[in-house]
Amino acid sequence: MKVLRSTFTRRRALAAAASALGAGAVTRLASAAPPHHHDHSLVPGSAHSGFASGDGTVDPKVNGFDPTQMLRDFDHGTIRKIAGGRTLREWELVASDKEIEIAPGVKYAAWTYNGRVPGPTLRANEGDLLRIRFINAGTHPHTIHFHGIHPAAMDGTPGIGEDIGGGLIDVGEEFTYEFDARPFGFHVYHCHASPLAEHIAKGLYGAFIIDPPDGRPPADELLMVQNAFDPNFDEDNEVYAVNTVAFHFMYEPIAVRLDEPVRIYLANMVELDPVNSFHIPGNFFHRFPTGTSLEPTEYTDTVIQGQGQRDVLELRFPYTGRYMFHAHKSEFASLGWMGFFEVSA
Amino acid sequence: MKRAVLVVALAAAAGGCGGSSADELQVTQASLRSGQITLVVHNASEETARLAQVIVNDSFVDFRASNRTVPPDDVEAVVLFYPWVAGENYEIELMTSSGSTVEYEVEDAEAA
Repeated sequence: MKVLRSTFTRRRALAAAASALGAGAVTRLASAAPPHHHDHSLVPGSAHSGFASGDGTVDPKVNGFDPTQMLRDFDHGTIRKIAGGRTLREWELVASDKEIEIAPGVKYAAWTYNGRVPGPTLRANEGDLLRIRFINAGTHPHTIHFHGIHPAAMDGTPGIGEDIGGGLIDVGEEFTYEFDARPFGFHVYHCHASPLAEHIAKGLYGAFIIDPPDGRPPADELLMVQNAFDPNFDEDNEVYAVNTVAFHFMYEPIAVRLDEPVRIYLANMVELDPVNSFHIPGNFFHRFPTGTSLEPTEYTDTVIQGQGQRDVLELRFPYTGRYMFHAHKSEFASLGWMGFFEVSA
Repeated sequence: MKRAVLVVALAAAAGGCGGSSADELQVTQASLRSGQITLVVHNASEETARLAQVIVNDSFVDFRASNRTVPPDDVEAVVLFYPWVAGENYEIELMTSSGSTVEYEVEDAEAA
């Protein structure tokens, strides 16, 4: 959200204008003809979809992760049975600095778990024993703070659990978090080091799903993590997205099937803005707040989420065709947080 | 008829994670015609700048440039396709590959 700093801006502006206009530079004017589809010098968003939507999408090879693959990429960990017949799930998460491309041509110095933003989507069953080895290969102290119910020393909070090596994990150090998977629902994890907003905004977060004991009905399940970036460090986000790359799903619509059940795990990890929203035009969905109940609380087409809030959404598409999804805060949508479903028979 | 006031506004942009810093880019001219805003950008730095995206009033917009890479001391015209309305104000951000931005403000817009 942009806050106009008119007084400061205008004062800077007048001085700069006098200087710049006196430069006498030679002007090379581009053609001002209307846009058309085959002009590669033109950002092709409007020609493609009717919306100005960035300059295509980012090649997943650049980032090493693909927002489309992230939709259905659930990491169940390394699994083995332990005493009492319980299931132990183990993961390794490594924090590291990494430059990523958040919109076509726009680079951002991210902090990542396992080289991706959001980090791996960890998935377990309620009652499993979870063990997450965390290695800090970044350049600042970090933690992993899991949402859920667990002992204080496993909370990834600086200053707590340091007697057993937890708390703030320094550069080059590591710690293993261990706790039971509860309660079932859709949760998140994120760094809890200070300054907190910076550590989250730079990309240290991920999704954490705990399935109910008897599971949920079969569905095409999709992870959507709403996020945003402040690449010019003015404490306002300029780029918004689902799964990191602005407008990605405008160019690679999410393929779903006619009348098949779809389940969306929707989280809001946007910093610097107090709320976010999600809307599907032309359809309605059942909402399961935090996914902690198997009974929906609402049948709607729009949800509002605060920071860190999650919902499980279930729906079917009764018609074929292309349907948008986007933030209903229009500014966020116009800055990258919009995409399409492609419904086919 | 209202008078168009074009104001250059350079952001106090911090350096990015790579590439050029937008604080060395300057908007030297602006003109408006129906559905278009044309800006002339001068690269006052010693490094090549690459224009990546353009934002008008908190919305990414389509734009055209003969060359999005602007060498040192060179200029480039950038044509924004935007349905501006006479008499209204517009805040434009030119975003470089480093994520830095140059801000430019059009007040009381009028074809010129």
